[in-house]
Amino acid sequence: MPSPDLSRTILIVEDNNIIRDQIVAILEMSGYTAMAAANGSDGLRLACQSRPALIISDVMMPELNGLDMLRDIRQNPELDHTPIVLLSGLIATEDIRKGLELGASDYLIKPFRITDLLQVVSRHLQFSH
Amino acid sequence: MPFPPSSLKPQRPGRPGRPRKFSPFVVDKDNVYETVVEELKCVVFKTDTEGRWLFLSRAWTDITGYSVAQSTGQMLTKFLYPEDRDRVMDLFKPLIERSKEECRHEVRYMTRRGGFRWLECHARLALDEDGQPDGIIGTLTDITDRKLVELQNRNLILAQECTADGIALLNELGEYTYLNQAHVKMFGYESAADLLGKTWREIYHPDEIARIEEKVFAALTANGSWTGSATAKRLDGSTFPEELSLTLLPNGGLVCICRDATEKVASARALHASEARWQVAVESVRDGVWDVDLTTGAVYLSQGWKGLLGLSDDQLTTTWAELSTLMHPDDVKDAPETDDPHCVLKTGNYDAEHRMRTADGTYRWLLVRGKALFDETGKPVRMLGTAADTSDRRQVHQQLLANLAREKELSEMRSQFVSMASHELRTPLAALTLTLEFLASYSTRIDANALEKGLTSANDSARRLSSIVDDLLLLDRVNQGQLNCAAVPVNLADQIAMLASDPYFTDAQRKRFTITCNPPSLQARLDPQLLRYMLLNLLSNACKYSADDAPVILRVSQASGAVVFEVEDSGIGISEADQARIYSLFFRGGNVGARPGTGLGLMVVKRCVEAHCGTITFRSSAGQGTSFTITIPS
Repeated sequence: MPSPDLSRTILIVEDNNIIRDQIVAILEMSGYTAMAAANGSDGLRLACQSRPALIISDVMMPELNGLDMLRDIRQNPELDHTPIVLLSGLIATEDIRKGLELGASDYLIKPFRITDLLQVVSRHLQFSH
Repeated sequence: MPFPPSSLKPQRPGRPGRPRKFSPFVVDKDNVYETVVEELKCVVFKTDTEGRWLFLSRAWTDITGYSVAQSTGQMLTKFLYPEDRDRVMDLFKPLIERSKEECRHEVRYMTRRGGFRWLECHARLALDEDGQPDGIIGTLTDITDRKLVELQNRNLILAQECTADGIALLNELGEYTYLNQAHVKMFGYESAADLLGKTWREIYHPDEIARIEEKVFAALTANGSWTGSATAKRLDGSTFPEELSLTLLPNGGLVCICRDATEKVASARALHASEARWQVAVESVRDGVWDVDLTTGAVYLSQGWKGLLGLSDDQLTTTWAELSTLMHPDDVKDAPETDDPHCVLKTGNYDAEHRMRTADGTYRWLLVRGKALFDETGKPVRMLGTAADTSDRRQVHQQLLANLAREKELSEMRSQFVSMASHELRTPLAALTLTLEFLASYSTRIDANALEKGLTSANDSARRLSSIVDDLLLLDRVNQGQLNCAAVPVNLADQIAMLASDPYFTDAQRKRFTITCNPPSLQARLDPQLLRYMLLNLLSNACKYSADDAPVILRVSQASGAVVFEVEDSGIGISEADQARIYSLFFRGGNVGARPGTGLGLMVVKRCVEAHCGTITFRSSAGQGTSFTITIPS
């Protein structure tokens, strides 16, 4: 089994199983390697293990929420450069501002189109390499 | 009696500067006369027919200071006080014209030192041996001292006449011997003559006369004087209040000083009336009036305090320290120091709102305002003011503040709700659109399995959306008060089976459920839609607020005449502080973290239960889990 190309590995953290599965499917169709977690705690553990090139995370999740996971990742010296895209139904500017302050690289507001997702992914993977 | 002519010859009497010795043993008739004349205190004189001094005795020098030698031969008029000169010539005229034998008058003669002396002149015409007038002879007596006393008396009488007080003198019979003009007018008479010789009884009515004779005279006799008031009578019979001062004289007479007291009495009455009005005002207002004597600490409280604090009459006179004990302990710090009212007085004003204990032990809010009065050294001596009951206003104020806080909280909750509802709607919407777009975009690259999975996902997302919309509509019905219960007979086992497979739940959640129905054939009359909503909510909460793999139990059972639904989890629980509010609109527990929710579910569940005339209760402790019990009468 070939080891995944880490420069194209993307971690998806999302509690809604449909959205999570669809994003994984879309990214794999586009040639990326995708891995998924259903909450912040699992997401953080997976990030530490796999060092993905990009993390896409929902904000409101059980266990550890997206913002808390973001904070933990930014405090981890091995992960602090990993771009993180927040995914949220929260449209309040206050929440977006809070996410960006904590170190989010970008955000997508639900519902979003496939092209929006792929553009964001492509943009941040380019920057990180 | 004329002097012998020889004695009128001008001659120098005796040796100057040394009194002549008079010897009774020397009998020389001329010498005797001369000695007598020279020793007299009065001046003996003779003039010629022109009015020149022919003879002046030695007293002339003693009185006027002019020497006899210098004066003799000079005109008499030259020595008269200028204003009296013409008058004297007129006075002598009847003598010279021989129409009168003698004359007497009082005139002023000038003194050598520039002043004058009053001299009384007794004079008669001097005749020669042929019986023809050859001058005037007479005496001049110094009456200056008497004149001054007379003048003083006249001034005194003038003063008595000018004063506004009535002054009268009465003899031992009580008859008026003197009345000043004020006294006369005060009693309505024209002149003093109308009352002179009449007794004081003339100016009093019989009743007052009797009182004066009995009471006043007794005091007068005992003390020598009396001061008081009486009712006097005017000439026209009208009466007036009189202030009277009587002094008994040694001769049995009386000095009476009186004053018309009509205005004084009127102003005293007006003052009394004004004080009475003030008193009535103070006693009749609902507010309390307080008055502290700072020198003694004594406090006077008006009748209004009875209504304010329910004080009894004997408590209306109290002390500052005692009054302070009624103050609410929490308010004492805001109030003036209880043992030192002076500290209030640095500014001279007191303005505070605090609670005071009433007779029944409850507290009322009083707005207490006051002002200090200072003596001439600036020391506060008295403090007085009002106290008004502001309890009602205060209560309204507190209520308004509470309402405002509640409104603010509600507003924040609504804002949070909009945000949450948005998230709740957007998540399944995102799932649906993403799935549909995926199917459309990659239709040529996906297999049948993936297509079926995608379609199922889209279907689930659409139903989830639909269920959220149902919730919101149900909430709207609750808010509009239009939640109706359409109860129909239902088989509970069937209903529960449907619930367990409801697409609202994920497969992972379903795996956690342990559902029992005892007896399995249990029937009840229920609204299936509302029942679904109630149980869905409780089960969903149980999943949401406990660990991802923790069991969730639903027990349906029968009790006496009722169906009982129990939903139990082992999750985060509800803190004691939150338990009272969990059914409130938009309320969410403090320990929910980022778990999605609208703060609507339990409120709507409660309304659904109530629509079935049932009850909902719960047992919970933070960190230990929660168990909800719904009881619906069958």
